[in-house]
Amino acid sequence: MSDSSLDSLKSQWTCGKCGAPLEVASVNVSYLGSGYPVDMLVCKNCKRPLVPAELALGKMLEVEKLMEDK
Amino acid sequence: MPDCARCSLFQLESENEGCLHLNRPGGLELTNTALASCKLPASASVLDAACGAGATLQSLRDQGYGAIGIDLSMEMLRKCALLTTTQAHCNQVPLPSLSQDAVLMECALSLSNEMVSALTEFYRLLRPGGWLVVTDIYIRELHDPQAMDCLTGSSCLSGAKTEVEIRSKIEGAGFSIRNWQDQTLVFKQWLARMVFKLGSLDAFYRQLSACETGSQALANTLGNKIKLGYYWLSAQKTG
Repeated sequence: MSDSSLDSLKSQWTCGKCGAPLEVASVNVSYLGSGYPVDMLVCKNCKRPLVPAELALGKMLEVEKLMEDK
Repeated sequence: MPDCARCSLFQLESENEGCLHLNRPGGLELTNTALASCKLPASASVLDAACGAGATLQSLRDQGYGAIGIDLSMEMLRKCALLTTTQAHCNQVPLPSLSQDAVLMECALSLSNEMVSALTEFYRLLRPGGWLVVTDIYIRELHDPQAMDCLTGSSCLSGAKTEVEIRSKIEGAGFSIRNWQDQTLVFKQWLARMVFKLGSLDAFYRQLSACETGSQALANTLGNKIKLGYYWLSAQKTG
């Protein structure tokens, strides 16, 4: 996701666990033993990340297919 | 003979991240694994053919080898200012016969449109028992031979060959292959990094292909008809 779309998402969400606002941070996404740094929104307090559908159904799905020869 | 600066993937990495050839699949770790299989003497002379910006060359020097690099691109060689390099074609290296203990070629053999003459030249340069070390892509599965035509429009994939073809050419040049290690997982991890970096595999294919229709055909080919893999090999000069 672009920085601008992350910024626009930031104002729409708070952490479901602790209610704190979210901030943009680099998160290490791992799959089948490989890690990839991805900018995401994470809770300022408990650091839980928000995985947008666009990311899950886009890059993440593509990487899953790639790694599994699908 | 590849010219790193003309490789369509070269500009993918910013200056801060280093040259793509430093960040190639497996990086220096893979290079060192392949070299270790040769058990070279401490001060061995090693030619880095298509050395690019010199990342491997610097590593070879740091390990105590007498390392020399060649590349066609002056733009690349200028980045190797403190290293021993010369501008040369792989099939015409300005070094004496029987002068090298090893020749290393990374991510470049498949780019060479004169693979046989390059291998013949490496054979000339190597001492008896000397080592050829290669890391590169290869065609892991070929479901539709007609699809090979689709790769010709892509600078980085146009010379990709099957394992059988690669083995045949290397052994035909007088080498005995001592190690062949599939590194496709490493290649997939590298591609996955490109997906996160560029946004999608399609974006990556657009980098590889000169035109939009070419990138769509490439995506279709690499999705269904041809599966790419990655390998390292070490082969010894015999005879």
